Amino acid sequence: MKLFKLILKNLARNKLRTSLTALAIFSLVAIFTLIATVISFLNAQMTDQTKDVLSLISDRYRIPSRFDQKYMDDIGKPGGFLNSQLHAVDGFHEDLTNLWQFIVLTLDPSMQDKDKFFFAIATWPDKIGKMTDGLKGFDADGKLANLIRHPPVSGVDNIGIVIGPERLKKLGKKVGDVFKAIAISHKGADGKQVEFEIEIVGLLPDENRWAQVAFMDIEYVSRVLKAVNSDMDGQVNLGWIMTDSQESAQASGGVIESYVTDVKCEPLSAAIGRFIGPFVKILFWVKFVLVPAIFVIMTVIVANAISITVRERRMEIAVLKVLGFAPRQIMALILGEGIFLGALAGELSALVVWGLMNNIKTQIPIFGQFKVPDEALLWGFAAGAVTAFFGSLFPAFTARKVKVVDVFSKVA
Amino acid sequence: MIPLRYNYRNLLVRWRTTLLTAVGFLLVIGLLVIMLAFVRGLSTLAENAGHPGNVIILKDGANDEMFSDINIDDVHRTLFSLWSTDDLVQHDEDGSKWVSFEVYGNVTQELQEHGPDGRASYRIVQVRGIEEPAMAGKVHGLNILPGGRWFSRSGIECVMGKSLAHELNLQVGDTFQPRTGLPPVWQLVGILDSVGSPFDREIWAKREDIGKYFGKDNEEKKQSFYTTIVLRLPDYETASLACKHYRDLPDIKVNAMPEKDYYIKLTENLKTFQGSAIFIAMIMAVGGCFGLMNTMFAAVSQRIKDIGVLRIIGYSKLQILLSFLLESLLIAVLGGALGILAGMSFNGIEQQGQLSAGQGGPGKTVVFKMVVDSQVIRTAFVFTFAMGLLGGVVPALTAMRLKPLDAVR
Repeated sequence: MKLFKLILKNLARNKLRTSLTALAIFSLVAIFTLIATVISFLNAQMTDQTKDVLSLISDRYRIPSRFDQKYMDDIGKPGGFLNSQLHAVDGFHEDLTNLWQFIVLTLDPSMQDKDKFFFAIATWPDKIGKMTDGLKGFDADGKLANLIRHPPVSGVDNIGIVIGPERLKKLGKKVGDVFKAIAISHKGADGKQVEFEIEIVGLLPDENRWAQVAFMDIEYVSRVLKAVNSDMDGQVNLGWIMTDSQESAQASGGVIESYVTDVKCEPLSAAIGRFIGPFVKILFWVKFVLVPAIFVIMTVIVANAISITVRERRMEIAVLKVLGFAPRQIMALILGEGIFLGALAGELSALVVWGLMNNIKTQIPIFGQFKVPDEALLWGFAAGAVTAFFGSLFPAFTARKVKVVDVFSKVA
Repeated sequence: MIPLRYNYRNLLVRWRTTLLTAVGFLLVIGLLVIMLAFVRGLSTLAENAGHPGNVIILKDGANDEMFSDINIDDVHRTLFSLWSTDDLVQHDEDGSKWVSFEVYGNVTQELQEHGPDGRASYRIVQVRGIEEPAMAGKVHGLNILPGGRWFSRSGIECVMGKSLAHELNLQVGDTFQPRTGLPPVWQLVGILDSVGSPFDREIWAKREDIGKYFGKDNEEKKQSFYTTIVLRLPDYETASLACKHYRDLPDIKVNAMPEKDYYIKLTENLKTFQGSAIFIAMIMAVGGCFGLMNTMFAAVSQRIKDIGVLRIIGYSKLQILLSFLLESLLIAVLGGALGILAGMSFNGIEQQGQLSAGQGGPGKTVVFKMVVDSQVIRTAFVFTFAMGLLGGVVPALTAMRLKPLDAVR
């Protein structure tokens, strides 16, 4: 306790130097926290889930993926051949299957105004909350799914959509509006863009990766595509299954791939990992060059500040030795000053970054809100303390070796 | 006159502090140079890609060939006359026009090494279906490396970029089967001399193979598509004018742009990357500035008496200010210059990156070399000076404000 009080007193003595060192650590830990957040986010995306494992079914070779909807019907609907095969897999549930068809729509007939574009996912409405990564619990009572199927204003079955609030604002529409949108991604047999009538029946959660996206009913999309004889009629882009565990995901994937050679079925983490592939080298540089370099810079800054302190306090250290302080106590004092300052500045920095970023709510397309995790508070503390420890080590060792005779002979 | 020798000697006397502060600068500026070299390398590749006279024609609304499809029937019905009758389109002595019809896509390749569960794993490969390989090579300015040849229209053959062939460990004569147990089984007959071009990680094969086996054709409706048509005009100005004409065609809507502009558009995603690099460097620079301030404040407090003496013997306040500022700048320049030198050692290192027009999808994977050019060095020096000035100005002001008599007491 006495040592701790002495540490606090010493740090308070030269407030300017203490503040400058703390500010340097603060700014570097801030950047480290942001980088560590990105790395941890990407790692989390590529890490296999242990339960409620979401697997992605996509065309085996083609990008963007596109395959026959009949496979998904066969997987999900009781009585289908694949469905009966999958029943033997422990952890597969036929009600936890889903399909997606992507549609890019615009309200601008000239198709030029980017603000009038929106990206829609045609799916089974009751699966939006159940089977969409990041939307768990949404529309738990199924009210919105029912509104999508039976929109109240237009009365036209299946034309309802739910949309992210941010995109709705850009489109200049509100819940209850009924309007026509042109699908720039879909053409009819006559070569003309397909037109959809749409009624907005609800909003997706704000501050979510889906804040720019809309969900619509696949039944309606199929109806329209069939009417115009579009080549996307009867096609889907992606299919989904959710299984209890990694083992059941692997087993279900094996069954699907063995009977349907056109598709591949893999855990979502594996699919994301493949798309992130080209960035792996960049991530390597960030992890093994940028982050260590930030740590070295912090260490150097602390080493410099503590070295200056030790040089200025040689007399004081000599007096402490005369008063009975052992060399290890002197070392502990100097190390303690550095570590306390580093840990405090690091923790404060992480706290500020965590508070600021999670309140500003920066959105990243597809990945959603850039959220600094709670663990970052620990990272900041650890980063500050560890670098300060290494930075203070040499000056502390120098302080330990200060010879009383040398100091006082110079004074004399 | 500023007491320069005095400053210089002080830096030498306090060599440990000078060195530690300079090391901090070295690391900050070194990292900045590396990050900028990465961005510069990728943008240099995009800037140098494409021939100034080339026009690229895509589907209306598509800025990336990944999202383009133009029905071949439409091309023959409507577009073909555009270049067949246009004398400005470059042509060979036999009259064949320099036009390349292509279908480009990303496909997943099934890997031979299966995972622990025995199921297949995949990787993304870029493929380009070509009608006339030799003509495509001319239009894109690419040749086949010695020992190889362009694929023939009759065989099941392909050529591929040098970087991809190296990664897949393939040589001319080897076979390559992207879909296990399924056609095509391509024979590699040539390797593109593609280093530094955006085609270095592509497989080129017959248009029909790509259309048929990788879902670019609609077999049910017997429709085939091109994603891209590239034609050669004399220069950029002619290409720009032709693009306007193509975009305004009454019978078919297409997006046409000079190939140079197309690749510049593909650098959209780099802006975010560049912004992030500058942001990281700025925050690190702030940390470096505080480190320098520490050093300079310590220098001022250790030399209060010196400053008093200097003032008494006639040095003005401004000279004291400049003296300390110069000292901090000297440390900054020493560390910064070493950082630039360290960063320069990364010049030419091969990296992989992605070009994307921001329309989604996996983007175009390219191999490029990191570039430390005068622009990167200039930016690094501006950072160095700014850090040196910001870190030194407050301590220098403190030194300037000292009263001579108080200082020598």
